[in-house]
Amino acid sequence: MSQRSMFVHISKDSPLNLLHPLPKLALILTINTVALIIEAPIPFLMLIILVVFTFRIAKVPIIRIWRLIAALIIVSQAVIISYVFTSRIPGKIIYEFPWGTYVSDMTLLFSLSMIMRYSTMLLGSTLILCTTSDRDITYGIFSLKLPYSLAFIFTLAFRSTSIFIDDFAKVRDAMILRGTNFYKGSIVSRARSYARLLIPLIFIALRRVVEYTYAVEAKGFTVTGKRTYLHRYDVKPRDIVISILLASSVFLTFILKYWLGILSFPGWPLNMFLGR
Amino acid sequence: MVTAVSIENLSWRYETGREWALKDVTLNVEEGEFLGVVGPSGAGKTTLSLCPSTSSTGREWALKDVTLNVEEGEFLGVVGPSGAGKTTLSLCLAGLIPHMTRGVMCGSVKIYSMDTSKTRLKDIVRRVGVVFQDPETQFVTMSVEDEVAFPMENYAFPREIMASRVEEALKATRMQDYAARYPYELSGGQKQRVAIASFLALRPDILVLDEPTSDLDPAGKSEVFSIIDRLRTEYNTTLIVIEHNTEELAKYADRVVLLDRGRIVKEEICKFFFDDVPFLQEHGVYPPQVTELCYRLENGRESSLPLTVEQATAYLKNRFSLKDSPQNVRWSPRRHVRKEGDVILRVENLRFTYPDGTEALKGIDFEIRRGEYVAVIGQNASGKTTLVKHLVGLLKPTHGNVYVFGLNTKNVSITSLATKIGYVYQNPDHQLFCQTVYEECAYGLRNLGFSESEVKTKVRNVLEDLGMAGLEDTETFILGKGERQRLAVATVLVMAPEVIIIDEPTTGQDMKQSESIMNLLDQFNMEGKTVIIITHNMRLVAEHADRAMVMADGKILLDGGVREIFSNIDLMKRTFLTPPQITLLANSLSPELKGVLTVDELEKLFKVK
Repeated sequence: MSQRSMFVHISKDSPLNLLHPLPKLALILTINTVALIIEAPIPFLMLIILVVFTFRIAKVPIIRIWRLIAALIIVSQAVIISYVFTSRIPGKIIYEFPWGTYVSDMTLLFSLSMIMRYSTMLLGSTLILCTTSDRDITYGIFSLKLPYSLAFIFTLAFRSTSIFIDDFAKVRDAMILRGTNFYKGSIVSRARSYARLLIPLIFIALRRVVEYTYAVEAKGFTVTGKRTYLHRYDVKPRDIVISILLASSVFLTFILKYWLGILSFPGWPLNMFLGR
Repeated sequence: MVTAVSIENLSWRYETGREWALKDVTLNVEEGEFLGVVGPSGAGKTTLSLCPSTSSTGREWALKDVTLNVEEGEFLGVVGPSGAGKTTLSLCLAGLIPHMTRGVMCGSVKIYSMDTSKTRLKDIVRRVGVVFQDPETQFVTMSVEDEVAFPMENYAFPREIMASRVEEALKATRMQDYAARYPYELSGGQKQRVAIASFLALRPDILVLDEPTSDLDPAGKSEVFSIIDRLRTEYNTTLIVIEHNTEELAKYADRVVLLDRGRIVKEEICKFFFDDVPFLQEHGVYPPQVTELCYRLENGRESSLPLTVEQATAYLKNRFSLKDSPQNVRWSPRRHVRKEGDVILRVENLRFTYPDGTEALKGIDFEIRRGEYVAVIGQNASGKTTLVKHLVGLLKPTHGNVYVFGLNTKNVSITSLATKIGYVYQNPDHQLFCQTVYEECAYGLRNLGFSESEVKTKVRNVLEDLGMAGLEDTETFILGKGERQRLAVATVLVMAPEVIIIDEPTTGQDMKQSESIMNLLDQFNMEGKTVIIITHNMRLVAEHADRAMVMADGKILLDGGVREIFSNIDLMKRTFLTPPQITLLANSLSPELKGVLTVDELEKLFKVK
């Protein structure tokens, strides 16, 4: 019995499932773009709460968020290390490094802000991937009237991903059954174990690429040439309205940051307390 | 003048043909005469010819001097051992060789007089559909419906025609209830049916199927064959089927060719193809069990031997009789049976639900004793693999308990279980991750803390036992599939487990490779160790296992001796399984004989009338 990939509908009665793939794609883009624009920690916190609230509305099990914790910890470590050791953000200096960079209170606050940025992007993408199938994403790309070959590349990428996840699980299990412990030992020994895991995965992937190519060619696929479609991907008025609202929110975020400065670091309401 | 050839009133019709190929032909040819034969195309139009087609992989010819003609509407079976060139042949037929594969090709392949090397690939594949062995990599879109429509979309079929053909193709393959499913929601068998449906909808003139049933349960295999046979009946599609399963092939094929080392070594109409049983076995092909039985009883003197259970029943009733009354037949116990061993595996009310909510196991209870040889059988997606993953500790029960040598798997690490219970995957590619054969075998031992000298001794011993001595420094990824499978077994055996679990040990392997692996397992079992196999191959179960557990829908429906299980033909049907052909034949001869498991057993019961 095959394990399902992460790209799967979680709840069939989720309101997000009523939407056309296009606004769902727009939602992914919006969350990520807004997260990239914002720098201020408090608006970020509000955005995260909004995304988590959307998880509830979309009927995505909250357990999905817990599964992200490990990824978030790794991201947080990387962010803190990079800002602590390499940045020079003005503020009350806590520690100065011999190579000229320093850690200030603002460095820590900015790191926190960046952690929240990546958390928002991770949460937002997870939300959409939980309620949007890989099929929706490719159908969404069809709707954008982009070349079919581009959408088809996405389809193949998603298919390969789910197969790769299955292969990865099988090889990892086979290694565990022969005494490999991926969670113990030095970093070097763990890295070596993961490197070993790559060998069969690359071998299998190469073989699968050849088989995929045969299968696609054997079904008459060509990059150019006329083709027809079984499905129509009609966009309803509500999908257009939602897409416009999402686009507007990006525009609004842009204005709030670059015109009013509310979303720039340290941003509202901290700028009132910090006098910046 | 001496008459060299004399033909008088010769008429010939192929067994499955509708018209006479030759009718009342009288002809004499004198010695030394040069006779020209002219005329229009025959009763059947030649659709496809290979003359001679060869393709090289670089080291040796994958196909060599193959000459083959296939008639329109014909069902051609292709058999042969692994590495014989069967898949290369299918790639040549679909034009993927030479268009998509680099190599050297001499000769030509013609589809309806269209030379594949001079024709656009898209034009070839419009007429030749090809279904490959691995259902996973054939599914290139995101839903069943999309997959069936995909080839038609590529040929710009109007939407209305596509919709009706998709519906029709899904109905024909009994997949209409799965139209909106994702590929990862389907079993291997279902994916294979979708692959066939996609060509059913496109309606190519020729359909090539490369081992289409290797991953399917017995009922799934029969289903695929009946579906493709309907294609021929309804659309006059020419079928070329590459298959290890000769029992199904023999039911439907008009003609069969045997490929070995890239050459056609035998080509005959199906009725006569399987007559020379030793020749086929020598070339790694299992003939149908009923044919093998009749061959043995006739000492190879007769031709046109039965191919199906029905034919064999009539044949045996006419020519042979039982030595004793069926009621008096007593079966000797299977050689492995060990009921006195300690209980080493105990499963109590095991339930397991995957994180997505799929309830894979629904209350399983059983015990396995030391030295038993157990087969876990059941239709695709019945929960077999999920069950054995609990035995090795890879999965932990949602409810209930699994005890391995008295230890609850919930409380012990997988590594500590690995020294007691080994698991061999169906696909060796998932299990081999080191550079050389030696390193592969040594890997597990080193993880368990053995000294290098102990590792060396143990690896040497296991490679010798498996006939792989001398391959220590060989890179694992250049080994053939059979050797890789044996190496996968070696990596487990070297850890000296008490129990070995092996998933589909012979899938995609020819007769010799299958026997080699099964002999290994027999030897392991004879040493008092426990063997658990998961398989769809009922012949293997009958010939090797003592006990079988029949699974369906996450439950064990029947657990008992193999003879008892295969005697329960109603249950087998309910679980989409089919007993071995020889058991069906015995049951057809007399219900008292339905405990027969092997050709040897049934052969001993007969005498010439």
